Amino acid sequence: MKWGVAAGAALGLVGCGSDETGSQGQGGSATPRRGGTLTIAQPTEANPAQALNQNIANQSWRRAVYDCLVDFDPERREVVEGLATAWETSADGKQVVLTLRDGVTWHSGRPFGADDVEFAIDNAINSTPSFQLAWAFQNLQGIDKAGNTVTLAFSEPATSIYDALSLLTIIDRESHDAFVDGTAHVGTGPFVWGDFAPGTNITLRRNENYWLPDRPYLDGMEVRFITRSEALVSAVRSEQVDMGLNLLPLDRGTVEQDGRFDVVAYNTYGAALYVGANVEVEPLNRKEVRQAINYAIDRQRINDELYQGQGKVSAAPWSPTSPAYDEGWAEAYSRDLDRARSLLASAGAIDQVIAVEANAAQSRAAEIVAFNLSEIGLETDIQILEPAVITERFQNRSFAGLYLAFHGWNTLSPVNVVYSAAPLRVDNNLFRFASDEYARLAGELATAVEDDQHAAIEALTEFILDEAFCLDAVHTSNNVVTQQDVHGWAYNVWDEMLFADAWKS
Amino acid sequence: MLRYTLSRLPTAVLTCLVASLGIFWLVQLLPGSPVAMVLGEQATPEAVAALEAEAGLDRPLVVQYFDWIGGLLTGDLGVSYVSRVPIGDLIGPAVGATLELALASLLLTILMGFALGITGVVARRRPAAVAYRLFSALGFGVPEYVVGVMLVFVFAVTLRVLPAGGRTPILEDPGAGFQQLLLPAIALSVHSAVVVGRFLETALNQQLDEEYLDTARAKGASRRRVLWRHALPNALPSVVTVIGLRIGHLLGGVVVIETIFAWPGLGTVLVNAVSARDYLLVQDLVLISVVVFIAVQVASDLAHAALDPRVRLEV
Repeated sequence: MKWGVAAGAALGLVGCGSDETGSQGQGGSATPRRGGTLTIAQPTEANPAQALNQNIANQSWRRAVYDCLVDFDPERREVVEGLATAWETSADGKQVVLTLRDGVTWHSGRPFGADDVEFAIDNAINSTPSFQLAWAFQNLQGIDKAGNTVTLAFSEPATSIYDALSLLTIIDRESHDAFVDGTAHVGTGPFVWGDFAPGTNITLRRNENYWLPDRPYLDGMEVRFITRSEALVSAVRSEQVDMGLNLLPLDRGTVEQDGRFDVVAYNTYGAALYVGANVEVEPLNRKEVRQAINYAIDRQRINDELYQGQGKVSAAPWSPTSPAYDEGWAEAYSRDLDRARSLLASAGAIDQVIAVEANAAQSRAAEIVAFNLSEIGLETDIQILEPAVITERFQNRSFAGLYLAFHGWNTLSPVNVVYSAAPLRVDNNLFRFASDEYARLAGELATAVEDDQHAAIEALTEFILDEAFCLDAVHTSNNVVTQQDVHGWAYNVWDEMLFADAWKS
Repeated sequence: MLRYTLSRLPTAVLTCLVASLGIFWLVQLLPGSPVAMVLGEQATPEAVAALEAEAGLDRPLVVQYFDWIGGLLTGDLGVSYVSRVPIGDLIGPAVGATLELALASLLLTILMGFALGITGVVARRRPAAVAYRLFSALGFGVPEYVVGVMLVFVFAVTLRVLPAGGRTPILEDPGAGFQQLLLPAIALSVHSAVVVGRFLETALNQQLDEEYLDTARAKGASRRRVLWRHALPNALPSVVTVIGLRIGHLLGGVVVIETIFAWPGLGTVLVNAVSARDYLLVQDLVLISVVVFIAVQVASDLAHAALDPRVRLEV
């Protein structure tokens, strides 16, 4: 695994299926070969109507069709080129100057330019549903365009704007309505949108006018939706597909033992299992109870049993890829039943049954948490929720007690997490935790200049850990299996897949 | 025969109407709102309410029901709440896929069922009888889901002679289409074939014990002639009814089998629609299944009546 292979560096990212010369696997030629269709199986049906935001349903194809202004190298967490070839933030942090790449055209043939950047940012701010990091533009005062230079002017320092710029889909203003409906996608990426057959597949074809010379190598891609994990693994093992995405840990073990395949675990640890507590529900409105619960939870057992020990145990919501990651914060709630019982004793009498809610995929984790709570004398009621019910709970912020789920925000800069991540955001978070102190600490981080940032992160993290209204349990990796003739694909810090350099031997 | 056919229609129509009411009512009981899924987790309650109004979900249930039924009767299946695609466009290709799988499974059910039933009668004390009993026991006891997974493991993963899933329309590419169709069709038909085989065996044995066949044997009819010319035609009516019932089972089975084999049929669409709370799509799909099932039952009753005139005379 190597980051920044040749021109792949322009896209950012951890290259997979790549050795020193840009290839990997036995029997593979070191020289990339042109042609072929890459067939990918993913366990989730794509959602073309939700392509504005990064999400697991569109992780395989969004960046094949669309480019972003910049990207992030997950290993060094450095900004790298995208549609912008240069970027500069002023000393006071209030101005960001982007130099756009020349010679980029939309799939429709129209030239890409500064107007398109302005449209994409306007759309991000005003669209419904909104762009997931729309808050990052809340202090935007204006956009100046001069040739291929775009200057963003902010009223306050935009300290973490590059997260947003690397997630923001640069969409074509001429086909915006079709983009919203999900019926057409016109981007500048290496592949052109073909067909979407609900329940079946997406097909993409090579962008003959891609701005990166001689890329992409592949003639096309097909993303198939195979929702049953065993069927997905069988499709890989019978060589019907070239890649299988989002493998379950047990399935990973199955294919890992077979020398015919390469298995890649993303080093971003970009998915975090968290345990949130609705602080308006008795007894979770008491901080001592929330802390006791976190001391009782056996995070290591969850990691060992559910993720085959592949994840990283952490209470803090920062992944090892995050600039805020700290081993001490990760271990802040190491299991301590005596301390948990002591905290419960100081919290006063508890008569209520605590609801432990989760979706079906997290049911085993919910069982472990419920068992851990019974060890300190708390009575629980496990509720497995349907996806539609969870969506309503999200919208109404109405979880009945504890809620276990995954979030993919743990690789973001901390300030983006506390202003955008639904479980943790300062305003209207899922667990109804509101605090002036929380808002103050977040505000300090948002405006902290470089030297003050560490202290601001430290104060904020200590506060989040102390309040314990939403803490992580385990940070896990995305697992991908490929045939050995697949080379050159990559992923970015947000776990989105990149195929400009992918090829088949 | 026409009188018999007409006598069956009112019951069938009434059953469809009652089923439509039941389906509509049950779907309303499902927790969660379809527009909530459309707007995603970040949506505000105000945005949800606005979209519900736009989709007509804020109207009285009675109005929504008659709107739905009225649309169906005029061929308008509505528009999916989630994908915003006309439902006709959404399920059109899926109907073809499911029909292909169901017909192949039905054909296999009949062929295997008859082979098993006749084997059970003619090979009572031979090794073939032991094989028949074993196959019947396994086919009856092992769920379709397990049969499907085992077939994939053996033929796709281990031997790699057949694909593990996916679909190419058989009219588009007969070779590839047949290969992809074979495993799901076998998985779907094994259980039904065993049931049909058992019924046929029992019906044949009953016929073979009848006195009119003693007469035939006394007149010198060969064993083969007794079985094929006399016993089998008289055993068929009850078996046809069982086959009709098994079609209902096949329609239910495709939901599981299609997901195992990534077969893009109605079952896959239904599973996705249920998890996305796409109410209208779920209603349409379930009602279509009910109508097809009732139509098949009526057809099997008519076939029964055609084979056995006594049934017609009961009307």
